[in-house]
Amino acid sequence: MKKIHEAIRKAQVNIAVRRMLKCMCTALTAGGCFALFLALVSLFIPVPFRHFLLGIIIAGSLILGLAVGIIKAPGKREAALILDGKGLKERLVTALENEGKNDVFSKLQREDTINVLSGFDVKKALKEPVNLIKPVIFVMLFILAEVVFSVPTFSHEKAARIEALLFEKAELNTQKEKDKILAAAIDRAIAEILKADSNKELADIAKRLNKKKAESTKNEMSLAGEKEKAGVGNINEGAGKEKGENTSNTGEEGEKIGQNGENGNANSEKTGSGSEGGKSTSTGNVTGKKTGDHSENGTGKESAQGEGTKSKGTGTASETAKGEGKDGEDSGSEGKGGNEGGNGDGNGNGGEGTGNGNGNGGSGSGKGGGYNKGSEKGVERADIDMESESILIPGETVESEDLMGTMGDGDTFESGNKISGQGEKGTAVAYDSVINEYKDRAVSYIDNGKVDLKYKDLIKNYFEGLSK
Amino acid sequence: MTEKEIGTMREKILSCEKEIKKGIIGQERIIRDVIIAMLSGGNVLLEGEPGLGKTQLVKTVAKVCDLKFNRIQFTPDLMPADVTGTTLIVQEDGKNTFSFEEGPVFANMVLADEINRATPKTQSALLEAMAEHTVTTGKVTRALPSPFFVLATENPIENEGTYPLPEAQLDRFFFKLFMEYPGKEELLSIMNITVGTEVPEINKVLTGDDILAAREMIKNIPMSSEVASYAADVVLSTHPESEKANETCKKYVSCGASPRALQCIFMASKAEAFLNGRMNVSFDDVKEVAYKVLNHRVLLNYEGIADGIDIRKVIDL
Repeated sequence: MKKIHEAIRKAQVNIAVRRMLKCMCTALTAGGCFALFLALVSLFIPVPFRHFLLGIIIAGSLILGLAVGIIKAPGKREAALILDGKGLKERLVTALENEGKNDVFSKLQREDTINVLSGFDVKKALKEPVNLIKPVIFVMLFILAEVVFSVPTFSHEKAARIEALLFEKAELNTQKEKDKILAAAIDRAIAEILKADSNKELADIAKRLNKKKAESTKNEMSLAGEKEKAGVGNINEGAGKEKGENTSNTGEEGEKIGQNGENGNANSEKTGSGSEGGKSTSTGNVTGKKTGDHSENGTGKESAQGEGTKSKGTGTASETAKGEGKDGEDSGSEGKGGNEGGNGDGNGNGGEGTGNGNGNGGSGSGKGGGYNKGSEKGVERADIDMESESILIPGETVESEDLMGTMGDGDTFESGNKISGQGEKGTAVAYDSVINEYKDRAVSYIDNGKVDLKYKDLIKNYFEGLSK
Repeated sequence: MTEKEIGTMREKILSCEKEIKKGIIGQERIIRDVIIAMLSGGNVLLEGEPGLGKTQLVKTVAKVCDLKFNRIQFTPDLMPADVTGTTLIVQEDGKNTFSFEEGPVFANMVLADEINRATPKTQSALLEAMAEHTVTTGKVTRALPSPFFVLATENPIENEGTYPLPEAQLDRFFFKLFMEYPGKEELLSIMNITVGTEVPEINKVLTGDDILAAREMIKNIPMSSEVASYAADVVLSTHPESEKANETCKKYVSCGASPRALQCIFMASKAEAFLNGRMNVSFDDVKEVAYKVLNHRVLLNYEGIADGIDIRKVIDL
């Protein structure tokens, strides 16, 4: 009986493999038809992630075919019957049925079966001509579907944009999660501060919180960097390569700025890390080289209030800038707090090396401002209480000696000297109320078309940076 | 029963077939079928044109198997007593006594020639002999010799003055075989044997006891459940009310085959497998014998007869 069982086992394997291949071919052909249908539908209805769907269809068809093939694998009896049909005249199935019987006829029947099997080639008997039609059909169907997917239609354009927006949404959701984690860390720090008994403890708590923030920043930057590689970027720029290119361009700029940032340009830290960094960088660039342009977006303007005449020896600015800003013009409000640190791009680069808020552009003292600044080269600023931070509100023109703040390290001007610009006396108000007003104004400018759409992300990131 | 005995028996039967082929040229399949019917204990209804060698076939089989052979020519005036025998008054020792004179049916092999020419009454006399292997006259039942085999013939040409066999009698025939007209070469060979100088010597190969032993052997040939199920499905497919029946059957058949048909298929397919050198029954064996077993058992309705439907279209093989 061993030989009989062996022959049946061989037949089982052979038949199972054939069935699996047939099922897979059938499933792939069906999948190809579905893919083509989907492709035709996509000509009229936007179908995002179409290439991913195509992959899913192929994988699903293969898995389905494989599963059906496995389910349809023949049992011993079925395999015996199939093999008997190839010339064994039901010898195997009769032998299987009479396996335990020892009468003369059953023995004779088994012997007869074994004799016949000795000259019988199982593989050859089960060999069937290969049907190439189905594989050819499914390959053609998938190629056709791919071709149809590649046709540039309005619906495909819509789908591409939907894809980009969905990616961005996912990014935002990820960011929200991170913000939640950071907020929780801050809450914990506050609780610890309340329980603290000494300055040392306070310092430790601050250190731990800063570390947490730095980790969060690092993760963001590495995530942004990956996205840059993936070519994910501004939706403004469009999808795919364009985004990537733009991002990398921005990154390059950032690198340059980064070099400058050795002197403390916080923006350079972000440079090259992806769209965010890129944006930051471009922010730096813009503010650095085109201070005026940046100010067109509002930030500059507001800060520009501190520029010019006021900047020279502007007290408020110099408070935070710590006397930096040789040019003075740049060293004003921009030097304030982390916000300006965020904006410090402009400060750092533009001011010919003078970092207003965040660091010196050229002098190398590099003090990175803000939470997410603080480059390797720079020194992170101490945490500041954003809410009570005072900023200048434009007010009446006053003589220089009436301006607030302390003089910086830059060029000094004698008090009382008439200067080209005019300083303004202001009042200290809560930072948040002012920044929200700036933000609202910026958003309304964008909505009304007063600001070019291409700066939308720039402004968005700017205010997000400020809010941190 | 030993393996050697089984092997020897098979060889004897094959040599019997070979001997018969010496006397009957062509008709190889008919010879095989007659042997199968004989080994299965059945009777054969042979249909063919006159002069094809139906009588010669039965004579040759009887000679090879060393069996007593009788021929009955059925005519419209043939009486049942002419078949079974009759009781006669004889004088013994000065006294008148009744003596039973055996009829031609008392033989191992009986050729009932042109059975459809006899009256139904006479046909029925043969019925008991074929079914029970006994003859009852008056109050006495007499056993027929064993083995007992009837080969009846039907003349398809003459329809005038004929009586078609009743269904009950038809069901008792194991096979209904159709003798085909021989080809040219076969005709010339027949002429050489019958009209020429080449007279073949036909030897006795089997005996009656061998046939009975072979019958027991064949009953033990294994048949798998798949093959048995297939055979049952074939018989069921002849019944118009069955789910196995095809559209032709449902339309043209009035009555399907009986369970006796399945018995005949089982026995015949086992004998077929045995003679083919196999110790198991295959689907092909069933297919080979099914039509011969079923074609006279499936009754067509008027529409089927009028349309000349072939039973092959009804039986789903």
